[in-house]
Formats: sequence, structure tokens, C-alpha cells
Amino acid sequence: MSELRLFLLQRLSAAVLAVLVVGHLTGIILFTHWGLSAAEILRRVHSSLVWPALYGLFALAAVTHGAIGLRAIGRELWRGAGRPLRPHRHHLAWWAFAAHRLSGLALVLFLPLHFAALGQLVDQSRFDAFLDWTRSPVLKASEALLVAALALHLAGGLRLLALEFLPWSERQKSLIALSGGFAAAVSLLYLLWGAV
Amino acid sequence: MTVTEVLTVEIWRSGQSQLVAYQVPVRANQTVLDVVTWVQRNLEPELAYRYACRVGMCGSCAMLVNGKPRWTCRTRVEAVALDGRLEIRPLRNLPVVKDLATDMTPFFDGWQQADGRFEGQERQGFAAIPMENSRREAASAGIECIGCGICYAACDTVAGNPDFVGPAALNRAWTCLNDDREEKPAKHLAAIAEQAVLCHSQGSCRIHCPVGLNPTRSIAGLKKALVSAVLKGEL
Repeated sequence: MSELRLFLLQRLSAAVLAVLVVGHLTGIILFTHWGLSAAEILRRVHSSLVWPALYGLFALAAVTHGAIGLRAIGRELWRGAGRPLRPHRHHLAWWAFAAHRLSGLALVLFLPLHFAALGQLVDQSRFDAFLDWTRSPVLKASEALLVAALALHLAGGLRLLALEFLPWSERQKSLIALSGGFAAAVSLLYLLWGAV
Repeated sequence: MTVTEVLTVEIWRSGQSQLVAYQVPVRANQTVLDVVTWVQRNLEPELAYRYACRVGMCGSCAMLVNGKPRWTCRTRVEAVALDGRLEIRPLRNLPVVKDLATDMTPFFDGWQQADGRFEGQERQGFAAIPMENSRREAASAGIECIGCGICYAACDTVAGNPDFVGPAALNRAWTCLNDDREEKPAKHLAAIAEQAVLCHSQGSCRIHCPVGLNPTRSIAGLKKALVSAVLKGEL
């Protein structure tokens, strides 16, 4: 596939994911606070065709976006572009790039585990036992890191979509700071309210 | 002029494949190019480097100074050698001819590949295109490139993908595309369709450009133009 087609697919999947991830982050925080069970998820999925369709679209967009992202990371690592920090990279936009790559990598590595966990829904009692296991402090802390990565990748992605497709703004540094702040706020909200 | 201090300068020697240290007297208002010239004239006659105008117009003296790509003729030593040390290497992402002189062929091949060539008629008369024309403003913002290769050396996307033509070539394509006298804009867009989309907006080109251009912005403009052409079925 041509670089142009891959780019369009990457940005299209990003735009779809941006909307779905806002919903997902809200759901994560609300349902971790209220408590989640296999019965609750299954009730929702069986209630109408909209939910399975949304989950299907979500999975498709995430897999597409992750695969194209991994290809870019692979090319950079293969050529040694990611070798130790060099002085020409000491500026905020490069750090924002690095944060977007690292958070993206964390999410794409987590995705198979996430799908495997959801696969246990076929056995409700097993899934609920799994949810109990994730309530340990260590798991909660790793979840908070994942929530931070998701929020950071969402905010960074929205910044990049704006940079590429909206009229140019000279406030790139402020936008980078804003996306970092958004990620920090969301993960604090998760830790201080959602996960309590 | 009195010599008050000595500067330790490490310069990349390609014959030995290593940095070699030289002691250079500190002078007032000395530039990095002055330092390299002093080493070549007094200590190392075989040292190879390149320069022409010495006033920031020709774009031939760019090197890595303490790890950052800079125009050495307009870089004062006191602004960069904060701890009395200088490390000078050839520009990154380009083959080295000898010592500090790089082979700029990949850089300029990129300009050819990105079709940075104006094709059209000169218009007669004063300000044939009004100054406040937004496309003219976009072209004007990118037109002062001196072709020094600093953005090419700063770009990690070039480092990760040798097929990428680099920021300067795409910036040039953007100025051609916005020139109302240009007769074949579609040809310019087709030439960069597989190129502009490779940019990851790291912004190192913009940070290091010695004349203050913003190739990241130009490339973002090309991406918008590409998406719009795809939506109209032109690409």
C-alpha cells in the first residue's frame, strides 16, 4: 500500500478512535468507581446491535492504527533513529513526539492482553474472578499508567490532527503543555475517584 | 589583539575516524568558522571543511556544533561553548567526503525529486500578485531558504528513512504550489504525495533552521492540500 494511503488510513482511524476513546475513558473511570461485572457488560452488549457495532468498530480502528504505528516505530528503530538522546532533540515538540510513540507502543502491547481478558467473558464466573484479581494495588497502579498512556495518546493525537488539518497555530508549545496536563488530570481523576 | 584564554576544540577527522582535540586561542566575537579556519591555518593544514560567503548567505558552512546543526559563520563561540569546550562534527544524515565536508548529493537529489522547480511565466507589472494574497503570504514565508542542509541533518525522519526527501525540499515544493504564476500545481502535488505524509512533525527543522523558516508548517500545508486533492478525486 502506498505511503499516502497508509497516512490517510492512519489519520482516519485516529479520528474514529478519538471519539471512541473519549467514551472509553469516561466508561473506565465511571465503571471502575461503580464496579463492573461480567453480567453488566453482557447485558449491555445484548441490549441492542449498537453496542456490538461500536465495539467492533473500536477494535478494527485500534488494530489498524496500532499496526501502522508499529510499522513506523519499526522503521525508526531499524535505522537507529531512536538511538540515545542527542542535543538536537532537546526541544518540546520532539519530547511530545517521543511521548506519543512511547504511549502508543504501551497501548499496542496492551491491546492483545485486553482482548484476551475480554475473551474470558464466555465464562461469567471466570471473568468476575479476573476482575477481582485486577483490584489489587499493583494492578490498580499499572491500570493508572495505562489510563495515563491512553489519555496522553488521545490528547497528543488530537493536537497532531489539528496541526495537520486545521489552520496553523503558533501556539504549539501551549498545545503540547495542554495535552500533558489533560493526561495528568485524567489519570489523577482515575486514581483519586475512579479507582476508589 | 591579546590572547587571554585557550579553547579546547574537538574536531572530527575522518581519516582516523575519531575526534581530535586542538587548543585554540580565544578571541573576541570569534565564530565557530573562525575557530575551524584557525585550526586549519595553524595546526592542521589537511583539515577539510567548506565555506564561501562567511556572512550567512551561501549555506555551505553548516556543521554539528556540540551536537546541534548550525551555520558556523554566524554562530559565535561564546554563545555555544558554555563550558569552554567545542565539539565539531560534519552534518548528520549525509555521507562525509572528508573531515567536516559532507556530500550534499542526497539533500539536493531530494529537491529534484520533490519537483522544486518553478514552471510558469514571469508576470509583467508591479505586484502582479497582490501582497495580501494569502497564497503569496504562504509562499513568501518559506522562500528564504539558503539550502544549508541543517534541517536535513536535524530531521530524525530522514535518519529513519533514507527515501524521505527532507524538510527543505518539501518546503520548496510548498512555495512552488502557492505561487499563482505556477502553471502545473498538480504536478508539484503528485511529486510529493508519497513524501509529505512521511513527516512526523517532530519540529527539529523549525527549531534549528538558521533563517527562521518553519518547514513543519509548510509540510502540514502540503498534507492538507493532499487530503483535499484525494477528497476531490484528483489524486
